[in-house]
This record gives sequence, C-alpha cells and structure tokens, in this order.
Amino acid sequence: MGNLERRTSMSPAQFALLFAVIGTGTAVLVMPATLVPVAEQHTWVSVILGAGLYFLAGTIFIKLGDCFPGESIVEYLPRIWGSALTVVTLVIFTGMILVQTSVRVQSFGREIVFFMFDRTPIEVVILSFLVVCTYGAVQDLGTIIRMAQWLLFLSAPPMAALLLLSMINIQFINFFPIWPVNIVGIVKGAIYSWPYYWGYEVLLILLPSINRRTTNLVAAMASSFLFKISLMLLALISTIGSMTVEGVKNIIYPTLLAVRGIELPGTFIERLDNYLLLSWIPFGYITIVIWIYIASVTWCQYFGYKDHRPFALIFSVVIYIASMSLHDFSIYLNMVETSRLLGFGFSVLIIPAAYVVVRWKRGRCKDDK
Amino acid sequence: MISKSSRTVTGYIVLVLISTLLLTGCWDRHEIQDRSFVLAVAVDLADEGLEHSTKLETFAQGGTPKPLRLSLQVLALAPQTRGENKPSKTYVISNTGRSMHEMLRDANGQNSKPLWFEHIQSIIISEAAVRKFGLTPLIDLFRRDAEVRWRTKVYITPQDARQFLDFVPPTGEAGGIFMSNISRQEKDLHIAGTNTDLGATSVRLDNKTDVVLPAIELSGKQIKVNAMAVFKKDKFVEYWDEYTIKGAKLLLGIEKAALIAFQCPLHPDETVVFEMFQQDTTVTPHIEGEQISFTVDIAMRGNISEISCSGEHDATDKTFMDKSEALFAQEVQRNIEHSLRVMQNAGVDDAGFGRNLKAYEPKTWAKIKDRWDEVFPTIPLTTHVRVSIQNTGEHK
Repeated sequence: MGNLERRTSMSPAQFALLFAVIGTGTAVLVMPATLVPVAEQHTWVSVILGAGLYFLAGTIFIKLGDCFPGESIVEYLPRIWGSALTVVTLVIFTGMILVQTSVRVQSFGREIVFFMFDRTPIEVVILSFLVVCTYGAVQDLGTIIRMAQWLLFLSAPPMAALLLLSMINIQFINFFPIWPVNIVGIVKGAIYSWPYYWGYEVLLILLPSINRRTTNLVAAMASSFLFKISLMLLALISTIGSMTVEGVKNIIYPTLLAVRGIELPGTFIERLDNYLLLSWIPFGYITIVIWIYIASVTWCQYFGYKDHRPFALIFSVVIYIASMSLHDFSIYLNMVETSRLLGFGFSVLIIPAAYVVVRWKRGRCKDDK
Repeated sequence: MISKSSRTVTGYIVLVLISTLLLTGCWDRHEIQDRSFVLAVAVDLADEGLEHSTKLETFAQGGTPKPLRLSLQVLALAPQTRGENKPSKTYVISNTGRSMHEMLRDANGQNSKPLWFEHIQSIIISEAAVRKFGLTPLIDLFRRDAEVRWRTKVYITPQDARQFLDFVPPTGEAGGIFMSNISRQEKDLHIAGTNTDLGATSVRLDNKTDVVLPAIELSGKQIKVNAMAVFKKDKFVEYWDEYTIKGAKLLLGIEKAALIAFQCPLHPDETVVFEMFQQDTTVTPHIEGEQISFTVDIAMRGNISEISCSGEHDATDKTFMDKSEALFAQEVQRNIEHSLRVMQNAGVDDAGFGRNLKAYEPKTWAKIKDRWDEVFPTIPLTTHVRVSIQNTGEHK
C-alpha cells in the first residue's frame, strides 16, 4: 500500500501552518525575559517592528526564489555567486540551524528538568527528546506537514486560553509610561526578536514544493506572522501587566509565573503553569523536527542524494553533542547570543545580498510585478 | 513458509511488545504517599539557649553561626474510611542554621519521607528575624523554587513564628491552610489580603518599592490577622492598624467591601454603618513648578448595613440619606488623610504615589526619584469623595 502521507508539495496555507508552529512556544515562554530588559515598556513595539523586519526578509526570500522557479537555494545559489561561496553560504545556513536548534534542545532539557523531572539527568531528557525528534525528521514532508498541523491545533488553543486567563491579574498602570520612547532599545529588541520569528528560512529549501496556484504565499506568510505577533503580545500583556517591567526583568520564565499566578476564587484551579508547559512541548518538538529535516534536505540536495534520512541521523548526533556542551549557563547564554547574530546576519544580510546580486545581474526577475 | 507481510506484522508486534517495557510509567514520579507535604513555614531567630531546641535541630556547617530557626508544618497523611471526616493532623520539624536551603535539606534527616514544598500555604516570619536580616534573604529561596506557589501567603508576627505551626484550627483544617485562607477572604477582611502574597511581594522587591504584609498574632487558642507589617524596601519599619490600612486601601482603590462607620448626627452616642461594595478611584498627579501634589477622586456605592438607633430613623428618608451620604464621604476623607499622614510619617509610600509619578509623569519622576524619600512626606493630597447609598437592607 502506498504511503498516503508521502507528498512533495504543499499549499501556501499549509506552509503558513508549518511556519506558525516553528519557534512559537519559545516565543511565548522566553521572549518576555529576552526582550523586556532591552525595550522595557515598549517591547510591544519591538515585537511589531521585528515582525515587519523579518516579514520583509521572508518576502525577499520568496522574491529570490521566484527568480529561479522550481529550484531550491542549493540549486540556484552557485549561479549567483559561484560554488565556493555557495558552500560557505550553505554552511552558514546549516550552522545557524544547528546552533539555534542545539540552544533550543538544551533549553528544552533545562526547562523539563527544572519544572517537571527533577530527578532525571538532563542528558537523558535531551537524548530521549532528540530520538523522538529524529524519528519525526526522517519522515516525508507530507507527514511532517500533517504533524505540524495537528500539533498546532493541539497546542495553540490551550496556550492562548491560559494567556487570556492570566489577564485577571494585570494592572494597567504597569504598562506606563508610554513616553519617552527608548528608540535604541526598541530597535535592539526588534533585532533580538529573530529567534521568535524564525521559520521563514525554510522557504529557501521548500519554496519549489509550494503549489502557489491558489493562495498568495506572501499573504499566507503574513497570516503566520500575525499569529505569532498575537501570541507574543498576549504574553507581554500577561507578564508586564501582572509583574511590571522590573519584575519581568528579574524572572527567568515570566510567562510561566504569570500563569502560575492565576487563582480562580472558589475553584480548585491553580498551578496552571504545568499546562502551559505541556502546551509548549509540542511546539518545541515540531520545531526541532522541521529544522533537522531542512538541514538534512539541504545537504542531501547538495550531494545529489535522494534520501535525506542519513543526514538527519548525522545532524541529530551533532545537535546532541552541541547541546551537551551548553550545560554551563554562561556558555549557554553566549551561544544564545551567537545564534541570534547568525540568524539575523543570514536573514537580513546574506540572503538579501544574494537578491541584490541577482537583480544587479539580471534586472527584474520575470515573475516580479 | 512465512510471507513477507506476515514477517512485517510479526516484527511490528514484537516491537510494540518490547516498547511496553519502556512504558511502565515515569520513573521520575513522586507518589503521593511517599512525600511529606509542607503546609506552612515559620522563620525565627535561633534561640539564645535551647529553650525550644533540641540538640538534634542543627547540623555541622563549618563552624559558621546559625542565627535562624526554620520550622516546617508537615501534613501527616493518614487513610480515611468512607464517610469519615477526621481533622487534618500535622506535625512540626525544626532546624537552625543560616541558609534556608541548608536547613530544609538537613530537616529531611528528621523525616521518613522527602519534604515537598509545592503545597506551602503560609510563610510566617517573626518580626525579630526580619528586623535583623531584612525580608529579601528570608524569602529568596521561596521566590526561586519552582515548586512554591506564587499565591502563598506571607505573614509577619511580633511573636515567635514557630508556635503558629502548632496551632490547631477549630475547623479541622490543617493550620497552614487555615491561616492562608484567612487572607483569601479579600472582601471580608479589614486588612489587605490581596497583593500581599509571595508573588506580589516578589514583584514589589524587584521594583524596589515599599512592601506591606499582613501581621498575625496568636493568643491562647486563637489567631488573628489584625494589622499590616510595613517595610521600607525590605527593611521592617512598623505595624499599621486596621483603620490605617482601610484608608490606604481606599486610596489605592483596592478596597472590596469597606465598612465605614460614623456618629449618628441626631444621636451622638449611636453609630451608622455603610458597607461599600463598589469603588472607582482615580489618583492624578499634578506638577506646578517644583511642587508635586495629588488629587484622588473616589466614587463609591454601597448599602446602609447598620443603624444602632434605627428605631428613631426612617433610613429611606431623603434628608437622612443625603445627610448620611455627606457624612460617609467625610469619614472616608478623614480616613484617607489619616492613612496618608501615617505613611508620610513612616516614609513608606504604600499609596503608590511614586509608581503613579513614574507612570504618568516620567520626566518629573526622573528628576526626583533619587530623593523620593525626602519628597514623599511633603506631598499634599486633595480628596474628593462621592458616596451613593443604593439600599438600606430589609428594614427602614
């Protein structure tokens, strides 16, 4: 019997759902602790500005791909700046994926051990998690798309509901002062927001697989950005509203504490932070699955193989070793910073530079309007 | 000859059976009967002598002094038969040391099961301990520990905190739960039960603002939450009585159901009581040159709940109503002015004026934040109160 999940294409709407799950759990759980110390009261502006910045980057990714219909970056990049620079670019792309994924896996292990399984060694948590992720990553694209859709609908509603419920503790005075605006902080916050919007980079590999006869791809991507913005703004309102800017600055997982603070009088409902953690796990899982898959397909295409699975196994081992080296908190924080710089540089400098070179060499691509 | 599909099916079945060996349950589980639930914590200064201590209630710690005593009220879990409703049983274990975590860890040596802190309901700290060490170091562990609830109630007592853990409530509840529930009656309590728990205190400490916590006292077989302990940042200052707290709550707009009593205008020996059930408060800062002032506008609604000379009045009479509304408003104003005076004398900004300036007049705040301690006691307040009586109860 044929594998019904085996697919080589998806619709723009399916891409939007795939993009919507990538990094979203971290965006809700970790984003306030990262961005509020930088942009303070105006973090919401950074979130929106960051969305604009990375949406623009995503649009450039699409436009670049449109100049080479039916080809992925592995196929068209040698024609833009030669084979040597192509290898360098692909190494940076994979490096960005592996560094950010290792950071996420380490972060996953830390949170699970700290909040749930305090007697289980982090190595065991990470190893089991990566085994399951690798199993997901060796599947076909169709299976991964289906998993992403299921997990999105499984996780997003409880996550949003918990954030909404935490609004009972907010105080509006905590959102003030609106002025003066800390412009440097806002811009820095927007740049720092990359790890919470990443995911559009899959377009470099998957764009040829998107069947664009129906929905506009840019509009579909915009809807995913809106989804991420909504959840992040909810997380900000919940955390700053209930704990003030100074409070959020001093807390490692502010969203969890905001949800832990929910106490509904007359009911037994409490310690809802556990449910927030449970709704975050599927997001974390599918994010890692997708990135191992993308890194594997990239090099599978580069070397001209048809089967991405050996690469998935190799990258999983690399991610395990890399995440194991991040147990020390200061090294972990350095790596978070490095991954952010890599991601920002790749999205906002390298790929747009490639697009500029294409436009310079070829003028307008034929699909440009 | 076994066909290929049969081999595949057999392979899957074997795989599923083997995988069940790995799915026998979470090995990291903590069974409920294998834990000791800590319901309340008391922090005192360690005894000078061994009046309350045994020689086992301490541990080797490199010869460093052991100035603190940590006591834990632990729930004694016992099976109950169907329909039975036995009172909860608790016991207390205690330890001395300097670090809370070390004392907790060492206290395991006095218990047959690991101590579990997820259900701590109340933390009681003696005034002597906070006077000596400040609040921050005494609650730091509870702010860090992921097990501890954000809504755990924190109390200060002028007495020894340890003795509260021996208190046996008449309701059959465990003492820690009983004490915590007192502060949960936010509508029916004279003091501030909300915004004074562990989470709210943690946020205040992070903001470097002044802290207030409910005070608790024990007398014989009774306990009462009857005042607020006031801190300048995390340093203990003094206690405020119920009247002061009521004024502060009215000023902050967080009062849920205040009782406001005034002398009957026609019968000076008698009392009329108004029960407020809704309050809208707007606090506005004003800046004129160097002078900072505030106005507070309060609109409140409620019912007349008691008239001790009721036989002499028709409570629904318009003249009586109008006069009562004016007198209630006067009393609220007097109460607020009293509370502000107490706050300014103590130099403790529980009115949230600093927070208000920071939010709505950030430029002014930036200029004066470093000398706020000098500015706050000089700030004048203008109060406007409007009272609307909605009902007079079942009787005229």
